[in-house]
Amino acid sequence: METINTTIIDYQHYLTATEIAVIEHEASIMETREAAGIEALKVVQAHRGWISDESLFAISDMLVMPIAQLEGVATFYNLIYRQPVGQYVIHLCDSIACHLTGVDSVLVAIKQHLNIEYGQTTADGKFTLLSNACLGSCDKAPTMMIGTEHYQYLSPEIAVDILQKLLAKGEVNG
Amino acid sequence: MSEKKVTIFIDDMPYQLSTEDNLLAGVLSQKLNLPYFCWHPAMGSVGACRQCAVTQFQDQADQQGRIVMACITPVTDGMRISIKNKAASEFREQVIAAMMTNHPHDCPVCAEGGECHLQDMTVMTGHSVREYQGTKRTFTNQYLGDLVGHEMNRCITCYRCTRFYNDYAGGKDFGVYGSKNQVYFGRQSDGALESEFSGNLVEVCPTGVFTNKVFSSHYTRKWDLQSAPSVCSHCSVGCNLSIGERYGSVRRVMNRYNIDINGYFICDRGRYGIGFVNGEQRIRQAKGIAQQSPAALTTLDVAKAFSHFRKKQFIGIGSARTSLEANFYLKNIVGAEQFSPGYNDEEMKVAAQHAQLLTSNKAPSLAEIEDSDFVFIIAEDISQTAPRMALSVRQALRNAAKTKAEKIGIASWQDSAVRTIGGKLLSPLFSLQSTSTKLDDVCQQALLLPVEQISKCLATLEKLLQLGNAQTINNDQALVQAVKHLAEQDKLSVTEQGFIASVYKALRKATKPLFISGTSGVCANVLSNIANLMSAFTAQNKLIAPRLIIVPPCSNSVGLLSILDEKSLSIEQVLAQLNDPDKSYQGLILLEQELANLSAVQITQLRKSAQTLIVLDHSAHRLSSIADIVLPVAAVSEGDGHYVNYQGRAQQFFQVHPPVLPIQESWRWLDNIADIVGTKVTSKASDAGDHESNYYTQVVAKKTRYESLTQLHQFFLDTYAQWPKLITKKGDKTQRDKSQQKAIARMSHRASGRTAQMANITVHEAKTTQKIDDSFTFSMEGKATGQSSDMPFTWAPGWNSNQAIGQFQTEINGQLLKASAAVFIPLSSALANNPCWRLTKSIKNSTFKSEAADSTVAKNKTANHLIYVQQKNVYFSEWQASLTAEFQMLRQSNRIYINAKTAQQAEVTKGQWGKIIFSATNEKMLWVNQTVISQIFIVNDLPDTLVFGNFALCQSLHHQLEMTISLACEQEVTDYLAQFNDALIAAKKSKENILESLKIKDQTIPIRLFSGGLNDG
Repeated sequence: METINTTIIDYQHYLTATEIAVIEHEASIMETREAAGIEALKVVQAHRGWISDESLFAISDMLVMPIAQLEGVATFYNLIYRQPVGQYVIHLCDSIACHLTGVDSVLVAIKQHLNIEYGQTTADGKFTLLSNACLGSCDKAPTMMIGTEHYQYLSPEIAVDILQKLLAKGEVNG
Repeated sequence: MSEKKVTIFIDDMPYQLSTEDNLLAGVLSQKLNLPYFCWHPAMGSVGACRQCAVTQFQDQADQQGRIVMACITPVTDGMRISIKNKAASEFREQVIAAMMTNHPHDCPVCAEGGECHLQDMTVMTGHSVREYQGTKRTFTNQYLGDLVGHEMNRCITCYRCTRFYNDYAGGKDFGVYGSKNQVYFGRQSDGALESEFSGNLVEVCPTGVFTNKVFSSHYTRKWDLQSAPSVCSHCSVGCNLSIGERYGSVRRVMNRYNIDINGYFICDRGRYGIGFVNGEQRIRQAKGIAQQSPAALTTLDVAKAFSHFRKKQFIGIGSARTSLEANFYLKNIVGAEQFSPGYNDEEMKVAAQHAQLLTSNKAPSLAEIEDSDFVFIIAEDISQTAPRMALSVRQALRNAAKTKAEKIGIASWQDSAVRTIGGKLLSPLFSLQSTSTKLDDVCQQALLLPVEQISKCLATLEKLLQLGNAQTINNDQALVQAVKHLAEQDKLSVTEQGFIASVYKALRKATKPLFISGTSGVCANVLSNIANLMSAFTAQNKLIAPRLIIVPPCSNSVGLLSILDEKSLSIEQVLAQLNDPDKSYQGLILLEQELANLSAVQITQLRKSAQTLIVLDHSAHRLSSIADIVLPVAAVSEGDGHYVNYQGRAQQFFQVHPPVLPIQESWRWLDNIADIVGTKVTSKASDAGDHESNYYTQVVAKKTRYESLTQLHQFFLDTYAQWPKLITKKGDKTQRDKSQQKAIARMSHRASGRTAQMANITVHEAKTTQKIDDSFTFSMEGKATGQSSDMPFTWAPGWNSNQAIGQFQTEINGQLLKASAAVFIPLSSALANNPCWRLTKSIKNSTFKSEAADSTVAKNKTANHLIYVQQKNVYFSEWQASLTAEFQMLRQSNRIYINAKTAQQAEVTKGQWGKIIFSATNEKMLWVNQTVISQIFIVNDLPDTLVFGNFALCQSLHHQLEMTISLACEQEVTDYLAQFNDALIAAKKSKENILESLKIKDQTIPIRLFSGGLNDG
């Protein structure tokens, strides 16, 4: 009935036709419409890089689900970004195996190289540094994930090298 | 619940536990202490907090055992567990230690301190030394409105809040955000909580994340409160409450467990609506009585003021919001022929129908509602008029999922498993309303119709049932055909036909169907349709007869109903009588009656017709301002009495604190004036003979004043045959004297001691003076709470929070140990047997124009007539609660709901501000207009003849009317919003003023530890 302090955004105006089509497809194969929430967040993030409040409201409008519920989903998963992020998001593993194998020095090296702290993005918008609870490669620790790529057996040098190569690749492509 | 019991061994001692519930509930039922957080007796188990760990052994030889969580472990025959075992107790202590790494040490400034479940559990586990040295995570709190405070740092992530708010109560604007060590409970963004059950978060939260904001602003520790068992005065459900007071002002309301009614939860109207007791509109002085001494109003002053009314006849108007005692007394003082419930003719017809329905159909309790597997709600928005009932209906809808889970061996207490299995599966709920309601989201089908159309649909359903009795309708095709055939006569639409068919189909499958309707639509036709439906069921039906609930608006509507008889007057008849030159009535006595059903014109007429107008009320209203004599009466927390709930269940509310004189209970005022205006008091001896002729003829000179409710009851019992004997306590005087010695203390056995009782005045110990036969003392001395089912507050050693209730139940979710049998009031047979209210005679005499005249004019004027229905609102639909400043701050700007077609014709769209002109003829047959600036909302399935909104139209426009919609210009909207905001600011200002004056009064208010009437000195 009444809604209090809630922004309603008409998804048809806000989302693109492609986004709507893909989300509609996901919704059609789920038991309930709101079950497509995670997929919808992923779709919109794939197109826009992150999930803004407006995107969140538009998806909630489209899937007819409470904003509180969708926000719960969006903030639960650390691969859904509720703030703008850089081109490459570094998920550095923060679990016990990585700590035992020297993730601390890798972290220091990355921080120094990029001149950012956890949760920050480089000034050029290329890299965002985040911690990740466990990437599941404890036998190949320390590890990190950038995009869909996993990097294992890290040392400070290897990590910095990876970042430099990514930057170079990006420049070639760009 | 406790059908199957098995023996299990807890620390090698045998216990009998039920297999129907989980191990934790079983252990607690044995009154053994086992700490827990996420489990809740009404919400079941999710195993989130890991606090209720016990060691389970495989057999007697097993010394090692393994740790299990009691709340998610079923009880099995012969199982062996240990609570005291070292591994389990260390585990539990370490769970607390982990929680404490983030929990702040702010107990001294936390409103939960002293009644905190987390404190209790911490002590219970023995975690008394904190070794953690690191930093604690911190959060930013949200503004959740003016009712519930938010302090997220205290959170221990038990998930109870979201499980209550979202899962149990169907809230939408609350959620859980983040993961790992950063879990946040709240709204997506700041804003008032939308749910009318938000206040329960205060009790559901095991610590101080959610606190009662109103209580916090004028705070007292639980142990310093003086409390008494009470009953909610804000709707007809009759939830049991515990009201807390200190230094003469009411501080807060907490839930008081009653297995049949509210269980563990109440609505926000019940929790916060008590604010009216401290409100600015309270009447605190008598008006129209000359006072001998400026110091105090005495009974002599009252007697003098009333002396010239000696032997003059008054008409008395009772009220559905005051006690049974006061109404009964008034009726007997003025005489049955001079008594009116304040209902108009139509409401009288509704009352008669209601009485008949209630007599022939025993209404189920809220607990019984939760058993239903089919619910049909007709023309009553219970989500706003009886919110606690709507909460029970929500639970009933889960029965389909529970049955499904049970089939695959999952017990109903496995909350999250059952919810996962159930998904969106709900038992059928149908709703036939004139406005959208908060239950629409869980309806199988909800239809919006004007009340006349609802009536037609019910008639068709009745015919269908009768047809179903006569012949078998065994397939969908036959059903559709049958409905189509039956609906032809009333020209029902395809949607309406489909709805009726669906209801019928679901009804056939139901084993425990429930029908709910109410009187707030004020339509006798709908009630008579329902009566016909019920008889269609009873007539040799293959279907199981449904249970029926009729929801009246007020806390004592049924109590008032029970004392009405065929002589009772409608308000039209009252007016006719007053204007009758043969009768020469002195005037009117209005007993806590604001006559909201009268228009301003009618109020003026009434005032002119009554030579003397006497108002007894606790808060100011239209009539108190024009009365000759106003007597200030006690509000619910200041007096004793009985309310009769929608079932006919009589429940006593007890005085929490004596009011500041000259405020006294209505029945005391009536007692003061009974001898003077009451020339019609009869004695028991006379009514043994011929009732009708000499019933009210003998005058009883009543000399004694009644000092307590029990004395009054005894007087009623001795004097009036119709007083329900059930209410008067059994036993003679000596027994009562004995029970007085065993009275229960209203205050806790607090550490701050006896001298703190009146610390605002003196730190000397107060002498405890006791009312003659009160069962509670205004003291900390006396028997402990829990010695009767009427518990002033909920507390047990080691259990300082309301969770202590488990210690007073026979078993978890069971009856209270000291429960006494419920008392049901018999309805007056005179009214119940007289369904057709005698009207025609009175209408002729009446100076109010009847509605019939209105509608004919309207019909002649235009064929395209409309019905406007005002949405019910939980905060404003009940007059007393609506006076609460915090509720006034929740006012919403105007909204009107129209259908797409109307919007298109008027060229307006959703969200725009419209200027809406309503017009119709008033009672003087004049064409009247009302212009409303309102935001427009579109409801697709709304019929063309119906619009609804959240604003009130003036009384004359309540029937068929015309409506023109145009876009409001910018200036009009700005003006309206400015006016609207001014009202909100005024409410906020009023709230601040009240708080300030209460805090000042805390220092000066004289505390009375005795409650007689005037002159109790």
